[in-house]
Amino acid sequence: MPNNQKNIDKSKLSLLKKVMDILIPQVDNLPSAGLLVTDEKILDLLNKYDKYSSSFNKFINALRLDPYCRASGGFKSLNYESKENVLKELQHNIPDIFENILELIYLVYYSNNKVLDRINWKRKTLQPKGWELEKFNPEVLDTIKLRKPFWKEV
Amino acid sequence: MITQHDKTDILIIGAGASGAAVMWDLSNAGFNVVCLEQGSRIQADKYPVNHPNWEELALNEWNYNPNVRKNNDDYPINTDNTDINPLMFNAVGGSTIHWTAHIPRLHPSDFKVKTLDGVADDWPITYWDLEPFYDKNDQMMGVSGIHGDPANPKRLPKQMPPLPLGEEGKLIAKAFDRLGWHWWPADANVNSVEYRGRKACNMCGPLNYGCPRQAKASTDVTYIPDAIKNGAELRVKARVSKIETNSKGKATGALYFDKDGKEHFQPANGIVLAMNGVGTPRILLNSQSNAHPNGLSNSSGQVGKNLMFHVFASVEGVFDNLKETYKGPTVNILISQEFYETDTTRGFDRGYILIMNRGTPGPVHLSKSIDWGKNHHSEFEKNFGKRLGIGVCGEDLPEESNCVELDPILKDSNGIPSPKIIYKISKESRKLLEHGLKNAEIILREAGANKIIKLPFSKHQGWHLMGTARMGENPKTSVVNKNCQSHDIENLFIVDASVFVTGGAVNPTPTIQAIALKTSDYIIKSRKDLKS
Ligand SMILES: Cc1cc2nc3c(=O)[nH]c(=O)nc-3n(C[C@H](O)[C@H](O)[C@H](O)COP(=O)(O)OP(=O)(O)OC[C@H]3O[C@@H](n4cnc5c(N)ncnc54)[C@H](O)[C@@H]3O)c2cc1C
Repeated sequence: MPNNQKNIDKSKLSLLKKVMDILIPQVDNLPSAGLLVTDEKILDLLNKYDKYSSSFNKFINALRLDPYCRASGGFKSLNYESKENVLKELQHNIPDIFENILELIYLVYYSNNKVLDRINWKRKTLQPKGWELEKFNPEVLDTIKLRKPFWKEV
Repeated sequence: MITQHDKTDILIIGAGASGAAVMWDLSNAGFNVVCLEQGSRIQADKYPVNHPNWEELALNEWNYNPNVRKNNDDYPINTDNTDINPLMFNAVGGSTIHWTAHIPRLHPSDFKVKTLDGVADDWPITYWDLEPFYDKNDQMMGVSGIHGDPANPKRLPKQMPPLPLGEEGKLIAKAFDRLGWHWWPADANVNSVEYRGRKACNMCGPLNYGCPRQAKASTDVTYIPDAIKNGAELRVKARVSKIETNSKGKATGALYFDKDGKEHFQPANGIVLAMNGVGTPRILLNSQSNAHPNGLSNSSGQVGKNLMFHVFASVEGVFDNLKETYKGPTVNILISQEFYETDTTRGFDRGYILIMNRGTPGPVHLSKSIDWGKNHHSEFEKNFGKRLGIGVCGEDLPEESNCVELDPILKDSNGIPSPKIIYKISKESRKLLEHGLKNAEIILREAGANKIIKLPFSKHQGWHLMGTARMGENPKTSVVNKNCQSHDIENLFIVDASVFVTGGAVNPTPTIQAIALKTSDYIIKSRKDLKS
């Protein structure tokens, strides 16, 4: 259930955006996810859903406590490969939380108009237009119709 | 203070697939009917597919899992000890708001598994006892499909032609033909043409998040409007906590909470429980009293036991030559019943169906199943609009240890104890799934898939809630008799899938509704004493 206005720590948000850059890197003329999406969009979902805000807090805490990150001056100061490895490790250790974070990031990223244009996804709202499919043609049954009834009589 | 209401002939609890059918049938026959439903009426404009952020809504407020959704009308469920999470929707229409309306029937053999295969128990009724009620339900819900399926007994012509197969469906159908395996267009309670004032489906895709066109038959747009025309009363935001009984051992009515948390008592001559395979045992167990120390209708100790879900897993194929597999209903394309019956050489009893599904309907849903990181964009390009899947839905035989109990701590917003699910997938079921997944892969390869993706087994697949107040002739080993009448309480009936003795390997709802209509038929013909 939507739950409005939580206190979201800006430094945590900025760390999440660094994570987003690794999870969804730049492509063609689009920058990586952390650079592309606005804080507003992320905050909107964090404020609306406890599922994301609680996973967000747990995820950032886990990231900050990660021994490798701590020893190297924090996630932001790691090189690309190391960042990737830390995230893989977190995915393995806290799968449910990681899944919620991924979901949040994909929701934010794939609601950006530039991204939707790039993937050519025009149908943002599925109704009222729907799609068209060719009507059923019974000729497709020609082979299977030859089969005798085979349900078990009891 | 408890508000007392006037007595009604029949009190139905739950306005989902089964409750709505009984509500219509009994009100049609002149019974005074009151139906109590804990949820609200859903306005069609609220459905996710009307909104640009439909994937966000689908994954949150419209999630199948009430523990994720956490809407006011939901009750929490303890799922710490289950391999499968129960999924449901709590509203007028019940879980048919969410369902995909895929409606294969049980086979005649499903009613005789003990006799045929020496497993579980036979039902006290046969396929043929239910057949007229399946047909009656088809009229009300409306079936798109085509007769002549060799895997099932002959049936009446369907109300509407099949839904389109699309290029993808034809591709998979031909692969089945080449392998010599059975397939048939799926029967669906989704309109291929206009039916009973409801529009035809316009193929938008994810029908499992509510259908604003009413092309999908959820019971809020099929049975319920007609029941209300007949004079039945539907009381929403009315959450039942307990069934009361008198010293003669009869049920007298139900206690419930309204939207403001005030308590009411609705007396009735007869009571019909239709709260689904989790909700019904929950309320029976919570109706414990001095006269019924183990819960109501539980002298057998079987209430809550034998929970079955159907086991499910799927494989997806990537087809380089396809572009838009998200167009069209995600399921309701075709099914195969080639592997339905027991074949002892396979190493497990009973069988499964293979269900074709279209690709993930939106970019977020797809992204969740591909890599993040460096490969994300290339994987996205290779997969989006190019995936087709084959799901394996298998029989899940009953075991007493799989059950619904009352949680000693967790409660809903009215303080009613929550259900606690204890469920383990059996070794047999795992073998069955493995077998099915191998065959699903064979089909996809035969159809030309360039890549196969075995989706990991997911906990989120408890769509079908069955077996927790089972039907039988013996009051010592079952909860209701063949008329779905409680062995212990003669004016109490259960009409949801709690009464299933076994689950077969097909989606349960047409069978649930046929059982519900068979029960109301019994009440109409043989329980005139319940009519004022
Ligand atoms: C995502 C999804 C897809 C599905 N797809 C299919 C499909 O393709 N084919 C198929 O056959 N089946 C499908 N199903 C299953 C199908 O929806 C159910 O089998 C069917 O709806 C069960 O009917 P029912 O009447 O037993 O319960 P429900 O339809 O669940 O209705 C029970 C009602 O009881 C109410 N209730 C519960 N407790 C109380 C209380 N204490 N007081 C008052 N009211 C209460 C609930 O709010 C609810 O409205 C699907 C289910 C889901 C979740």
